[in-house]
Amino acid sequence: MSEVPPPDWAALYQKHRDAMYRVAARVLREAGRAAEAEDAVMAAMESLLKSPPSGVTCWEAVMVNAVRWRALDILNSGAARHSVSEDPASYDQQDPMDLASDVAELVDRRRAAGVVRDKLAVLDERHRHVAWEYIARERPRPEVAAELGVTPPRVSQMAKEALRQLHKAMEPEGVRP
Amino acid sequence: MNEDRWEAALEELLDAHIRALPTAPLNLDNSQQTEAEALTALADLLWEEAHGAPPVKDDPVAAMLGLVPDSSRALDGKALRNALRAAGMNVSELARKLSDRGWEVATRDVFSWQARDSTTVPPALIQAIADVIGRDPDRLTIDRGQSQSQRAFEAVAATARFRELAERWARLRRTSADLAAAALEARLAASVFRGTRPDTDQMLASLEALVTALEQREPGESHD
Repeated sequence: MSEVPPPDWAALYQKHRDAMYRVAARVLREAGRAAEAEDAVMAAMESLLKSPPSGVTCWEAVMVNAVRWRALDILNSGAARHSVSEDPASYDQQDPMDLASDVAELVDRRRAAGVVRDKLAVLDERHRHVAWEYIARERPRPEVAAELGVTPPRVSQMAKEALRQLHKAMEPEGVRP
Repeated sequence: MNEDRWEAALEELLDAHIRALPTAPLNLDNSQQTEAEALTALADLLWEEAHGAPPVKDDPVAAMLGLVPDSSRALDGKALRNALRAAGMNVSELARKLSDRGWEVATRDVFSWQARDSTTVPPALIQAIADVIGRDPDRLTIDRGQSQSQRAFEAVAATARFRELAERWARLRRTSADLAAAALEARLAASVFRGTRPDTDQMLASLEALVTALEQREPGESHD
């Protein structure tokens, strides 16, 4: 991969911000702190703007890696901070093979997530509502149940049915979640 | 585990996964284990789809970097045309130079900017255009001020109901929340600037009717 000159930060951010938010949310989710993804993205961009890395061959990898470290920082706040987080220039000094592997995984997940989004169309309106509002957005089950005029346990049944239908619809695409 | 018990156990397991609750270990056979893993992984993918970047206007980093279009300042099509002529540059050259800087700009976009004043070009891109052409960005923009229609339009776009409609639109069109909001805003702008007296509830009801009609045409139908 040949080195390219640094483009505009705004252009870079516009292109990769969705990936940055997704990675931050995924890292923070396990601690129930996905809502802090914005903080991780903000901190990562501030660091990158303050000390732009040089010799970058893949900006997406650098930006995603930067936000991942910042999300880990948030999880570790109060405990010992990861040393990499204090040195933004090192975001691109990770083993190039690891970075390439990270980006490949990200691309695969985005593709799979895109297929899931497409396949929501196979669900009827009520199951699609449950899939999006309860499973994807994690809204409280009683709220979703009230919107559909069903009991909360019925929402759980519908979630299972929706996931089964989506899984079946994805099989011909050869996409494994 | 028998079939009936498995159905109930799977619901509990998925519920716990979705709500990030702890679960007791289950004694599953291979096929049950495989199904449980596949459906929880699918639930994770769906979750990720709902946790991408917010619309540009709600993203503080985007605002900081000048990616939020300023409706009171438009890219002046006539000024851009004249500046390109003065710089001896054609539209495809400008598009290519912007692309080299990382902007996703096609020649047709530059033609479109020249044809009419555009309020959707963000300040950061106007700055990049000015840098490429060698002009002061202020000389490429025109002050549109805040008309009554624009204020009404922005009030609608700021409502929770509009955001909910944009999310439904994103699912229908299989696009990002950002692009969905932009698409609905373009429809709003078309109605607002058509000269009718703007009314927030009417505009939202009109968008709701549009989204609902498209939802009723699902599943699996293209809406282009």
